[in-house]
Amino acid sequence: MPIISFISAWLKDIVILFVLISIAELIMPKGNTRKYINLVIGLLIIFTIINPFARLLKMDIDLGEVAFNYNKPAEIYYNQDENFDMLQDKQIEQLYLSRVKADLKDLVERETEFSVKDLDLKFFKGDEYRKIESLTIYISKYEEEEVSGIYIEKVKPIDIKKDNHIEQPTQESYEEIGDLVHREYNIDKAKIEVIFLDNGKGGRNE
Amino acid sequence: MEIIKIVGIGILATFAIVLVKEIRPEFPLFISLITGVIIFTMVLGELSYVVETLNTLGRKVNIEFTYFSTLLKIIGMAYLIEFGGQISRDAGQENIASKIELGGKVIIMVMAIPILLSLMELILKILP
Repeated sequence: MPIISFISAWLKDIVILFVLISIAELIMPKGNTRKYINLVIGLLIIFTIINPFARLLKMDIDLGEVAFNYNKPAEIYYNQDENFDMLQDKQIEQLYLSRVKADLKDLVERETEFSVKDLDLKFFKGDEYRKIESLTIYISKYEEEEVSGIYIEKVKPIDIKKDNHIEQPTQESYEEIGDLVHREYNIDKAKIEVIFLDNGKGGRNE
Repeated sequence: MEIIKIVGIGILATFAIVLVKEIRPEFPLFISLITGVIIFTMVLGELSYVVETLNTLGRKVNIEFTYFSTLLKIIGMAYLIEFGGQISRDAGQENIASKIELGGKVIIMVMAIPILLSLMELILKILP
């Protein structure tokens, strides 16, 4: 660009002139004539600084255009889509829900002898949407998870009895889980419901 | 070594002046004059080297080279004026010294006038 080369040449002139003047100052005699020499030096400096402007006028460069159009940032249009915001909110909500569920499951399984089969969570609407309104925990007896891979277990003899009663958790166990969740998540105990799932039967026992 | 020569000449001249002053009071002036001329001529070679270097550098600058050479001429003239004025003072001729200085200042101003004129012209050219 001509304007850049113009400015660089101008700066070069000024710098070299000042170096020369510094040397000239050194060899100057220190008598009464010093101030006259300083006057000439001052004139020379002003001349060097102003001189390029005359050439600039001859070049007929529009400095305003150069200054205002240089590095002009590209205009960015933001497409504000309402659906996008809704989708984003929904995704955040889902992520939050899954995290809370995983955390709760981990807590109950770590602290009690039951495993969590499912969780029903309801959150408050509006501003307090992060707070849990009610919670239902479906538990079952803790079982070791099967390791991956296929294996055939020996079939045990099946003893068919009329009274097919499975040992139910005691009331204390329910309360223990309720207390635990209440303590950790500060949820009202009345809103916590623990349901025992009878394994193999598909039914739900409260 | 130039510096040793210069210092040696200066010290010798000082001794000579101190010794001669009592016997012939008019001699010290001549001695100091001759010493001054000798030292000045010895330094002149070195000074011309500096001035030439400045000239070479000055050509690289995009300014009117004549203006820079004018500056160097003015510096040279200032040296001469100082030298002449100092000798006159040494001889006790303060009036002549001030006249030399006055003449020198006028000539310096005359030499500076072309720079001043071109500067004024430039400013008037730039202003709309």
